[in-house]
Order: sequence, then structure tokens, then C-alpha cells
Amino acid sequence: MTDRPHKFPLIALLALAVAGPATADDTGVPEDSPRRAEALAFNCFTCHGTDGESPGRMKSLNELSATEIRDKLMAFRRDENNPTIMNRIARGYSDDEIAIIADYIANLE
Amino acid sequence: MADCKCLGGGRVVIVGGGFGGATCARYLRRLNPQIEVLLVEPNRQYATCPFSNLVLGGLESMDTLVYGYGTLERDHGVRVIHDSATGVDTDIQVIKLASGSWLTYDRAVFSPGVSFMWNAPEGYTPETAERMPHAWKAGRQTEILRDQLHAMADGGVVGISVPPQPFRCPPGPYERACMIAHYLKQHKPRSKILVLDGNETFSKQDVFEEAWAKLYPGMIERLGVSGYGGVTRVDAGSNTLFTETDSHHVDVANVIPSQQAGQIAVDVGLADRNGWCPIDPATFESALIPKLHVIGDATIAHPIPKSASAANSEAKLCALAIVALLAGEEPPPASFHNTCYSIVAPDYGFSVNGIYDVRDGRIHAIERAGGVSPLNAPLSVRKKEAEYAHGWYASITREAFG
Repeated sequence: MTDRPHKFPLIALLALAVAGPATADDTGVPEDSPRRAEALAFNCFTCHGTDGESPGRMKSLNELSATEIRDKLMAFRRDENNPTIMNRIARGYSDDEIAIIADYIANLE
Repeated sequence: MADCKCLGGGRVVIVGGGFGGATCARYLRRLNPQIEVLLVEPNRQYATCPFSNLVLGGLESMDTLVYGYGTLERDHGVRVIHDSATGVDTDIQVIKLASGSWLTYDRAVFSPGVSFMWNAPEGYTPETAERMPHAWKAGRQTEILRDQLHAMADGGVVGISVPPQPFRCPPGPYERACMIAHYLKQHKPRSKILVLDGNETFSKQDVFEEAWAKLYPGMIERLGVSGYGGVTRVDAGSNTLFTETDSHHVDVANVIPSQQAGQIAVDVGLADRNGWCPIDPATFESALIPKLHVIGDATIAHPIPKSASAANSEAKLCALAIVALLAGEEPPPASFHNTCYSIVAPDYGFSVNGIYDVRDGRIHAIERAGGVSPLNAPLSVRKKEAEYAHGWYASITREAFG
């Protein structure tokens, strides 16, 4: 995985590297591969805008730090902060997945 | 043939420029600019089905729902070809176009949406659709239905015929009933809506029925299939909808016919005998023809519904898979998300959503996630969801059309 053409700076790889041990699942793709982060985080952009930059009334994500994104998702998962739909979304992701998503979005240029 | 595999490059031809095809084109270019992306789409403008019910309710005008392909070409380097695909030669890997051109591909993505099954119900044809609009592809059909509602006298009956599942946008017919009721309540308050349904139950049923009772009491009547709501035959001359037991003469007939995968997918052999396209859910590569992928409404992706949101999610996963495959790498584990908002009055919306992954070669909804907005929610919550529906629309159209 060399020469990623887009938007996955080294700092994100480092962040993922310290997030926890990478374990291979049955696809043979390491859990901390950049494409795994993209496969998870791209789903946020449907509502929150490409790269987390919202053109409408959804919250933009691109100004948030990884910690802020992670804390918000964790709180939504506990039904906190008056969610309408984010509780139903956040419950679909594990702690590790939330960390991967938060790091990926926070480190987009 | 641009057969440059350097840095995982290659050529991808995308057939169909709706939410699936346009989003996939954009993300392929974003993920690897070495990939040449050709988007084949006959129309120069795309009218979105999402929010087209709001045109019927008078909340939006048709021209706010129309997008072009200029941004994909200018800003994202997608080659947009306004032509129709007519066939595929898989031996030499070319897509054939109506103009006679052939486009070679390393991988191709079909995002053809749905086609209508004429004579389902009996008597429903392309000509009948001018008189009894389906309005299930947005644009001229939406305008025909809107104009018929405007021309109808107060006290009239609007019939909505819903086909048996599967069809594009499962909550769509019931949102439509609300939007038509919203228009009628203001302008023709003695009018009624009769939903003749080929299904027993429907998407977000509890919150829809709560909204019908609260916002439009006595205006919307629905007959499920066991109450003989299923329309089997239509007569456009007399504007009559026939069920197994009854005939309903209506003033405006909105007949949504049965559906299958977009015609090109059927023609090239991507669909099974039921008319929908089986895929490998890990990559959305066709289960029937290698190197051709299918995304969006045309696929068999149960339990993911046929929605613009789902097409968006599938398009991005498919782009990631193709980028990996062209580079000789393993695609990442698939993850999908769907959110469908319904707007039932200007300040009243709700949602259904789901998160999905792939295990043992099958798509699974993650059980602890997803679901429908709660019953008896305060109006402030319904208002927030209506606002978020607009936010969703702004984002998803920007993802596709820039």
C-alpha cells in the first residue's frame, strides 16, 4: 500500500497504529488498513457532506478533533445529547470502529 | 485501450448517472486519479426522485431538483458521455453504445436503476402512464401528476396504486400520500386519498399512520392486500382501478407499476429470472458476469433497501473494491449505511435507518443498530428530523453531482 494518492496522511496511520493491535479478519485485510477506514468513514459523508464538509443543515465534521468525534459517537451510543438518529447509527459500530472513523475524519486535509 | 495498470490504474466504464453511478465515478477518481472513469448517461440533466414528492405538496419546485454533470467533468476528471449503453462484449471487454461507439473497460459498473414492468397491473402501458402517471421517475411524470392534482375539483378522490415489493423507495408511496394530503388540505379540503396497496404492511407504518391521524384526519384511507387493495387492472379511459373484488373510479390515478432492474441490466444478462441483479456483496461485482459490478436499486442487496442513500453507500464501497482489485489488492471489509427520511408536512419528518456488514458472503443488518423514529415524539423532534432531511438532501446530491 504505497503512494496513496489522496488524503491519508502519515499522522492518521500513526494514530491508527496506536489505537490497538491490528488483527486480520477473514478477508485478509488488516483492520488498520486505510481502505478499511475509508469503507467505514465514507458512510458518514452521505449526510454530513464529502470529507465531512456539510453543504446544508447537517453538522460539519471537518472542524472536529478525533477526540471530539469519538466522544460524540460514544455519547450517542448511550442515547445521550438528544439524538434523533445518531443513536441508531452509533450503535452499529464497535469501540475500535469508532476510533478508526474519528481518526480518519479528523486527519482529512 | 488505456491499459495502464501502473499504480493500480485502468479504465472503468460506468453505465447510468443517477445517485449510484455519479457517486461511484466521483469516488473512483478521488481514490485513484490514475483510473480513467467514463460515465455513460443519455440525459444531460438528472431530476432526483428524492424530494420529488415535495413538489406534489408544493414545498419544492421541480427546477430545484435538477442537476447536471458539469462538476463531475470539470472538477473530478470524469469523462461524461451522453449516450445509451446497448450491450456488452465480455470477451473483449467492451460496452457498446447506441451511437455505435465501443468503450473498452477493465471493470464496468452498472447503476441502471429500475425499469417498469408494463401490464403489471394489466392495462398499464407507456401510453397509459401519460394519463395515469406513475411519477416514480422524477421529471415530466412528476409534473403530470402535480398538474392533475391542481386541475382536480374539491371533493375529488386521488388513487395511489402501490405494487407488491420489491420496488424503489419503500416508504415513498406513503410519503406521497402525505404530501398530496398536505396540498389538498390547503386547497381542496373535501378531497380524499385512497391508497390501494399490493402489500400487507409497509415501511415506517406506525409513524406514518400516526401522522395521517394527527395531520390529515379522515383524508387518507389505505387498503392492504388482504383487504383487496392490490390493483390488478387499470382502465385509463374511465380512470378506474380494479382490484380482485372491486372497481374504484378516481379523479386522479397515480399508478406505480411493478418494477425490475433497469432495462440494460436485463438485456446484458445481469438480472436473474426475477428481474433483479445478484451480486457479491463484498464488492458488488455481478454474481453472473465477472468484471461487471452492479449497484443501487437494480441489485439484490436485501436487507439493504432500494434507496438513494443505499446507492450512495454501495457506490463508495464498490469504488473502494475496484480500486483495490485494479491494484491487485484485497478489497476492504464492506460496511454500508442507509438512511431514509420522509417529510410528511413542512415541519414534520421522520427516518428509518440501518447499518450493514457482510459475513459469510451475505449482507447482515447489525441488529443493535438502526430502526425507525419513535412514536409519540414531540413536534420539536419531528421538526428537527424534517430539517435534517433537507440536510441529507443537500449532502447526498453534492456527493453525486458536486
